[in-house]
Formats: sequence, structure tokens, C-alpha cells
Amino acid sequence: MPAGQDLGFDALVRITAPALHRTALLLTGGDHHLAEDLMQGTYVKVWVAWKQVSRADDPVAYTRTVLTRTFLSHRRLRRSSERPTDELGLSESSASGDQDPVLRLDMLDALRRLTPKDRAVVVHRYWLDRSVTETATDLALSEAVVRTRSKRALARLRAQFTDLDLDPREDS
Amino acid sequence: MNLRDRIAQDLDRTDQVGPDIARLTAQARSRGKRLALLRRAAATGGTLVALTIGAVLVASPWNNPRAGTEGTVATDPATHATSPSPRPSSPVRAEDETGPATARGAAAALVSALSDVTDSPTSDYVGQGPRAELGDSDYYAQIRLEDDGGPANVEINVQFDGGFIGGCSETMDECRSARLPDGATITSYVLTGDKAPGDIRSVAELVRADGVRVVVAATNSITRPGVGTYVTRPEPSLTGDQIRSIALQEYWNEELPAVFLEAGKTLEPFRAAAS
Repeated sequence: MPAGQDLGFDALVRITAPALHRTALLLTGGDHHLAEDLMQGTYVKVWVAWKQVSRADDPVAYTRTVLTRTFLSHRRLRRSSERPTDELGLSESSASGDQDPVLRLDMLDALRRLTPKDRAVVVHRYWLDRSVTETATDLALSEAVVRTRSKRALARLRAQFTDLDLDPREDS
Repeated sequence: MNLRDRIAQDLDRTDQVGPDIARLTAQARSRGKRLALLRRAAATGGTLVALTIGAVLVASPWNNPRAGTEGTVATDPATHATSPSPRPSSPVRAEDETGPATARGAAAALVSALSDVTDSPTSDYVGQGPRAELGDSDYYAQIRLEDDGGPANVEINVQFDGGFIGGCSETMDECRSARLPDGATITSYVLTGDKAPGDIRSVAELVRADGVRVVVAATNSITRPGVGTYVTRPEPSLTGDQIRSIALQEYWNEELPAVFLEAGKTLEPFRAAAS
């Protein structure tokens, strides 16, 4: 969205909510309630800082950054209860179904089992298609950390989704 | 299939409804306005301007800082029921920047929680903060609320000792207790004649799954320290739903949102409660 465009708060929400909702779902590992809370918290912050947001070069990007940082901030406060695991991300249905479980692996579940920061890196790099540099800026991390986390997260996903066709860029 | 397509495929399956944009917009405005007011109050000093309209009463009441904690609470399975937990909308959330609770911060948090359920003016802020030297994280706040029906106190007591059970006991009138989906138990009841003849206290007691106990009481009286409790109106100033909503706020933790701690620093007229 170009800078200086006369964009109201309602319009920003209307424009950004569908994509932000999907990003929030990914960041929260598919938890609809947490995703809704995250979006709500994001838009409250955007509303309060509206003067600043409306003057930003890209209000949509600004809003997306608020979303991610709100997510990471929220996770920091809950770190004591964080329990990342290496278990396979099988959906509930796969546990009792007759189909080959590999075919029913759920990517959202797999993302949920990454650490929050790794998940945020994956979401930014491979869902939002942000570069390493942009992701580093978005998440307030160094580029080296983004690369390290990205590699580690992809290795975990690869282990679970053997049919995943990864772009060479994704290992860089 | 590449990673992005795979994610999109799973999202398509999971996200078939999409966001409620009208609700998001309305709630962001509502919560944002109150958050902005709190921040402005914290920045400019003085009372929480938008939340403290109207007369400030002369009396500086002090009630029992452990109000609502007396008596043995026994669980009554017959009164338990599972019900949805409608968490109240608030300008701040537990995940916002926080700091160790203070007496003033607790009072400011109660002002904010009240502003979510009523437009009535508040005054005479009383608080008792955690006593770190005793390893005691509990805090208490009391505020005078005044509407057309007259002034009355509203109190909150947040306790972290653990071991609370929740539920109804024989001493509680009109008791209702429900188990919430998150494992908390919320109990609403009425105490009559507890402090003075005609005194009515409408109480909501939340015992959370993490062991924290939050007790909110709305009274039909005011209390002057060392003098007594005076009934000022026929009924408490808040309904059961309103006090339940206050108890269910997510920020009643050992750390309170920084915006409350800041606002509390300049909250007047404030009085620290005696231990």
C-alpha cells in the first residue's frame, strides 16, 4: 500500500484481516482462539498508534510486524509452559484412521511443534515470502539467527514431510 | 508439493470461515480508546480522568483487606455446571508488558476493569500491595463507585497461596458455581449482614486452574476506617454478571500490565491500606 494514501482504520482492517488471519493461524499453530486474540491485540495496538501507522510507508507491513511482535512477546511471557516436542505432527484423525498417516500429516500441527521463534521465521520466510534481511528486521533478529533458525526448522519439517519439495533458496 | 503450497492447502482446510472483520474493528476501537485513555492518564498524572467523573466523597473508607476470604468454602458438586467462559474484552491483556503488582497498580487495574462494565464514576482509591518481605504476593484494592443509586464500595482481592477449592457453602446465599472450560471455578453468591445490619455483598469468586483466587465484591455500603460500615443503598452497585466479568479479567496475576502500574502512580485520592 503506497505511503500517504488516505486510508482509514476500518479500511486497513478490511484490507489486512483476511491475510493477517491466516498468518495468525500459522503463528499460533492453527489455534483459532489464540489467532483471534492475537489479531485483536494487534488491531488494538494499531488503533492506539494510528497516527503513526497511517503515516508509515507501508501500513499493511507495519500491521503485520505488530502482529508478529505481539505474538513473540506473548510467547515470551508464557515460555515457562512452552513444551516444543519432536513428535510427528499427526492430526487427531490420523491416529485412528485407516489411511497412511504420512499422507495425513498436518502442516499446522507440525508448525505448532516448532519453537515460536522458529515458527515465526518459517512463516515470514516461506509464507509471507520475506527475504532473510526483511525477516530479520520484522522479527528484530540478526540475519545469522534467521538463517540458523530457518535451517533448523526446515530440517524438522523435512523429517516429517518427506514429500516436501523445497526450493534451493530455502536452505540458503 | 512445495512448502508454501502445502501450508496453503492445510490453511484452506482449516480456515473456512475467515475473520469477523466488523467485530475486530469494533473491539479494536473500544479497547483501543480505553487503552489510550489509561496511557494518557499515566502520562499526564492526576486521576484517571476519563474514568473518574463526578464527585469525590469526603470519606476515605477502608474495609477489611481480606474481605471475601472469610469462612470455609466447600465444593458443592450439585451447584457445579460446565458453561462457556465469556472472557471480558479489555484494553489490556495479560500478555502486554507487565511488572510486579503494586497497591496503586491494583487500584488502577480495578478502575479499568470497572470501566469495562459501567460508566459510573469512581473515587477514593485504596490498595494493599504484595508484601515481598513476607513472600506474600497477594494484593487488594477497593474503590468507591457512585451512580444514581448512591455510593458503594467495590473490592478485589487476588491471592496466590494456592489450595483454594471454590464452590458454594452454607453461608452463601443465592450461590451459583460453574466449572469453566479452562478448569477454573467461578462462584457467585450474596452475603447479608456481614459488616452491618442491612449490608449486602454480592461476591464473585474465581479459583483459576493455576491456583490463583480472585474475589470481587460489590457492596451496598461504604466503610469509614475506625468508624464503621454504612449502608448507602438498597442493593449493591454492580450485578453478578458485572462482578464476574471483573474477576475473569486475564491480568489478575502477580505481575500487572505496565499501563496500570504507571496509571496507579498518579491515582488520587489514594490511600494505602493498613496491613
